[in-house]
Amino acid sequence: MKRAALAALIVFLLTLPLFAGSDAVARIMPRGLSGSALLNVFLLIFLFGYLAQSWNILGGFAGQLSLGHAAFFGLGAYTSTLLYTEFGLSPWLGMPVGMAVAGLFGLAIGFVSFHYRLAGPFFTLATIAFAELIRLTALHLKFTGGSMGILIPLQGNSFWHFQFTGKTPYYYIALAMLAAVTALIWWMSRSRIGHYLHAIRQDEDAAEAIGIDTRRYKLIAATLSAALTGAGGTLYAQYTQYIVPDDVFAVGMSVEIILRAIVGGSATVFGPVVGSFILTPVAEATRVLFSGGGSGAAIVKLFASDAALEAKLSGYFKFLAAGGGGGGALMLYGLILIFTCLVMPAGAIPWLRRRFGQ
Amino acid sequence: MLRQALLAGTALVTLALVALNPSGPASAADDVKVGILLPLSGPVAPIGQNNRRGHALAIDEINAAGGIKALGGAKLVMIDGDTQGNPKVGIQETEKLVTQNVSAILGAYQSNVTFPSTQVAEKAAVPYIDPVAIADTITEGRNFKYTFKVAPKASWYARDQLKFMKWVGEKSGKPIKRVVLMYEDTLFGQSTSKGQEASAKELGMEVVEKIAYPAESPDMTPTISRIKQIAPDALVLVSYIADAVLITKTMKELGVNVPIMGTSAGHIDPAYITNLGQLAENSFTVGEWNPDLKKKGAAEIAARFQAKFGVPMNGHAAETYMSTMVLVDALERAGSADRAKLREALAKTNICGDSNILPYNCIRFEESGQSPEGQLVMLQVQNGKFVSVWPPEVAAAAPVFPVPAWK
Amino acid sequence: MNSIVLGQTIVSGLLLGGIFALVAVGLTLIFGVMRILNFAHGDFLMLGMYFAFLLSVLFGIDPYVSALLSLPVFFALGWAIQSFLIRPVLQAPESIQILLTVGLSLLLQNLALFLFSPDFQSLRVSYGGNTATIFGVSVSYVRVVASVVAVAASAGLFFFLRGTDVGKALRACAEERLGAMAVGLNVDRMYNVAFGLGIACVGLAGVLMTPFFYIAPQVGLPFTLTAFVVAVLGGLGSLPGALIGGFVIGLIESLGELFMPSPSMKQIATFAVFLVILLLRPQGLFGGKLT
Repeated sequence: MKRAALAALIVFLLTLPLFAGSDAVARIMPRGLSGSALLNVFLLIFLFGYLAQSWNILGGFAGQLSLGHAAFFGLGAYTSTLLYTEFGLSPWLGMPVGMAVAGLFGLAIGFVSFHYRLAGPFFTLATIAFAELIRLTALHLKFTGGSMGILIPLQGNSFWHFQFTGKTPYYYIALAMLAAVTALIWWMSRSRIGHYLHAIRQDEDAAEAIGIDTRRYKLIAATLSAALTGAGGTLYAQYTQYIVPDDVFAVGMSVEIILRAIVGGSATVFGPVVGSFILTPVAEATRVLFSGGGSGAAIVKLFASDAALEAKLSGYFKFLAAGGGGGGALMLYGLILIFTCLVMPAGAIPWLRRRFGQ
Repeated sequence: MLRQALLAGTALVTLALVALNPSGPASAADDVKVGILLPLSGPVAPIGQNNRRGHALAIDEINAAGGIKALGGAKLVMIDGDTQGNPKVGIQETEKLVTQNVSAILGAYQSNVTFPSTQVAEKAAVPYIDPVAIADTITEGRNFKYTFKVAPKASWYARDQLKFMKWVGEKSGKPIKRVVLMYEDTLFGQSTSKGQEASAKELGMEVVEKIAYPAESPDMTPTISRIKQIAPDALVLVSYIADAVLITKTMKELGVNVPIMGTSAGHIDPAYITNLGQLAENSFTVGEWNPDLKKKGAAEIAARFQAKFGVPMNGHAAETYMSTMVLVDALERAGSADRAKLREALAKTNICGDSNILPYNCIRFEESGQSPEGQLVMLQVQNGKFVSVWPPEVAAAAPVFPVPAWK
Repeated sequence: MNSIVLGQTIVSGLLLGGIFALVAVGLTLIFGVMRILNFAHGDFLMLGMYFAFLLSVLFGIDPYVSALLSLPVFFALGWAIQSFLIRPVLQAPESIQILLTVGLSLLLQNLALFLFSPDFQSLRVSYGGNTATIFGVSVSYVRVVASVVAVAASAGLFFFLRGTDVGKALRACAEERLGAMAVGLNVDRMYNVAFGLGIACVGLAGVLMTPFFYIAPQVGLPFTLTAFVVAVLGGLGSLPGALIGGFVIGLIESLGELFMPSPSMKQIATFAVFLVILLLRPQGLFGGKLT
C-alpha cells in the first residue's frame, strides 16, 4: 500500500509537466490561474527543498544554526550571473564556479566563527552579521549593479545560455537537483561523517573528548552546505532572470530556507523535502488567494477629519470589510510558523511518525 | 511514514487548490481581464493604493458607460498583482497575471520593479503599459515590442524641474546658483539624480554636493546639518514618502531655511501634507498633473475622483487613469482582446488635445515604447493643497518664491 | 568639517542612542533571564507607537500620559505572550525558539498592516517641533525627553533588579535555574515578569518616539537588528552594558552617516562593529549574567 502510494507520487511528479497544460488542470486552478502556475509551485517546492537540504547539512546534521545562508545563495547567483553577463560564460559552467565561491565563503565564515569559539545564539548572530555585510556590500558596489540588481537578457530557448521559454526544463532540472542532494544526504547520514556530525550535534564537548576532530567536521559541513546552496542560487537566477541584493541576500531568504528544514524535521534525511512540500504551497496559495490590499477608506482619513466617534468607527468597519490594509497572506504564514513551533517542534516527520506509527 | 508524509504534502497542494477555489472577481467568458501590478502592501503601499484608484475610476466609468463597444460591450475586469514594493515579488506577480490570461498588464509604479517585470511580459508577449515609473532604462536600448511607457522619462523630470528653478530664480531676483542634490539610493533615485546633475550643468547651476541615502533611515540629522552648513540656494530631493516627511521635519528642527525641490513620488503624495501639516507649506515638487490645470476635463475628473474615493486626485492617479484609457482606446481600435492584435493597436496610439488630461498634446509611442511628448508641471504646497505654478501656460497660480523661513 | 555639524551629529547620535538603549535593555533582560532571542522585539516598539497614536487620536490623550499608561498594558502583554507562546518552547531546541519569535514578528507586522493600512501616521503635538539652540546646535525637546526618560527607565530597572526581592529572584533564576527552583522560587512566574518587563521597556520606547517619528507597520524591523547589535556590544544579559552600548551604537551610526562616503553605507559600520565584537569579545563590554 505504502509502496504503491510512493510510486504513484513519483510518477505524478515526473509526468506533471505533460498534463499541466490541460483543460482539466486549468479548471481546478483557482482565480483563473493556468497550469503554468502549478508547475511554478512545484518548481519552487523543489528549489526550496533543495536549499533546505543544503542548509540542513550544517544546521540540522551539524547542529550549527545559521541564519545567514542567503549569503551563499546570493554569492552563487551573482557569480554565475556576472560571469555570464561580463564574459559570456555559460551559466552551466558558471554554476560550479559559483559553488566554489560560496563554498570558500562558507569555509571562511566557519573557520573564523569556530576559531573564536562562537556557539549557539552567538554563532547565529554572527551568520546574520556576515550575510548583512555581504548584502550591504553588493548594494553599494557598482560592479554588482548596486540596488538595481542584474537583469539577465532574454535569449529565448537555449541550453547553452541556461534559458528556456517554458517552465518544463527548469522543472526537471530542479527536480534532479533535489533528488541528487537528497541522495547525497541519505548517503552522508549512513557514512562516518554523518555519524561524527550526529555526535557533534548531540554534545560537542563529549565528541571532542572521544577524539573526534569537531572543528574539521564542522568546517566540512559548513563548506559543503555553502557550496550546495550556491548552486541553488544559479538555478534561481536563471529561472527568474533577475537578481537583486534585497532579494537574494536578504534575511527573509535565509528564514525561508531554514523554515522548510525545521518544519519538516531538521534531524531527518527527508525532513527538508517534506517541509518544502508543506510550506511552499501554503506560501504560494496565500499569496494568490489573499492578494492585494484593502482599497477601502484608509484609517488616516478617518483621523484627519474631526467626525464624531461613532461615524469614525463605522467608517473603520467598512475599511476592514473591504479587506483591511493587506498583509493577510503573511499573517497566515506567521500563524503557521507559530503553530508548528508549538505543536510540532521536532518537525513534521517525527510528529507524523508518532501519529501514524512507523 | 515518509511516504505518508509526502502523500499528505501533495494531497495538501491539490486539496488547497481545489477546495479553496473561490470565485474571485466574477468574469464572463468574454470579459477583458486587465492585470494591475502595484505595491498594495509594504513601505510604499499608500502610493500604490493611490495609483490603483486611477485605474479603478477609469474601469468603473467605462463599464458603466457600456464596456468596450468594439467587443460587444465586454466589461473590463481588474486583476490585482501586489508587488509588495519588491522586484522579486513583482516578477512572480507578473508571471501570475500572465497565467491568469490578462490581455494587458499596467504597472508597477516603482522603476526597480517595472524594469524586470517588463522583461517578463516581453518574454510572455503580453502588452505592458507603464503609467508612472520613470527610469530611462525602461525603454532605452532594450528593443522591447510589448512595453509602452506613458510615463515621461526620468531625465525629463530633471530637465523641467531645473528649467523651473532657473526661471523662478531669475523672475524673483534671487537666482538659484548652488544646489545640493539628495536622493534615495534605489533605481528611482540613482537614475533621476543623474539627469538632474546633467540638466543643472547645462543650465549653469552648480551641484555643490550629491548625497545618496537609504530611504528607511530613522534619522538624518547629520546629513541635514551638513546641508545647513553648505547653505545652498535650493535642495533638490528624490524621495519616497517616509524619507520626504522625515527630511522636511528635520529641516524644520534644525532651522535649515533652504527651498525644497521635490521630485514627485513622496513629495507629491497626499500623505506628505497630512503627515506634515503646516510644515509642508511651500515645498515644491515636479508633478505629472494637477486638478487645477488649465486643461479641459481636468477639474471634472478630479471632482469625480474626490467624490468616489474621498481623497484629492494627484498626478499618479491621472497617469494611471489615462493609461487605462490608452488601453481602452487600443481595445476599441483592435476590436479584439488578443494580445498580439492589442500590441499592434497600442503601437498606433494617438490620443490628443482635449481627450488627454495630461499637460501636453498627444499620447503616442515611439519605436522604443516611450511616449515622446511628456511635459511635467511644477506644483507648490499652498494653503495645505498642491497648486500648479509652472509652466505659466497651464499653471493656476504664481509660485511663492523666495520661500519664507521656518517659523 | 564644521564644529557645529560635528556637534549636531554627536548630539543626534546620543539622543537616538538613548532610545536604542531602552529597546536593547528589554531585549537583554529577556535574554539574560530566559536565554531567548526575541526576534519580534522591534515589532513591540511598533505596537507601542500605535498604542500612543490611537489614544491620542481617539481620546486626545497626550503621548507622555500614554507613556505611563503603556507600562502596565505592555507588561501584561509580555506576561501573556510568555505564558502562551514562549513557555511551551523553553525546552525546545534553539532553532524552534528563534522560529517562534520570527513567526510572531511576521504575525504582528501584518496584523498591524491589516488593521491600520500601510499609510504612515504622524502623531502631531503642538510642542513637537520646538527646539532649543545650545552652542549653535539645535536640540529638539521631544527627542531629549525621549532619551532622558529612556535612560531613567533603564536605570530604574537596573536598581529594581539590584534592590528588590523580585529583582533578586529574577537574577537568581537567570544565573542558576535549578538552584532557584530548589529554594522554592516560582521560575515560571519569574519568566513572566522578565518578559513582561522586557516588553514594557520596548513599548515605552515606542510611545516616547511618537512625537518625532512616523508610525507604520514596518518600523520595527531596523530596530530589532540594532537592538541585537547593542545588546551584544554591551554584553547579553547586562543592563548597564545595553545602556552604554545604545549610546555607542547611536554615535557610530550618526558619525558613520557623516564620515562614510555616502550615508547609505552607515549600516556597514554598525555590522562591522557587530562582527568584531562577536569574534573578539562575544561577551561584550560587560559580559556575563544579569549584573
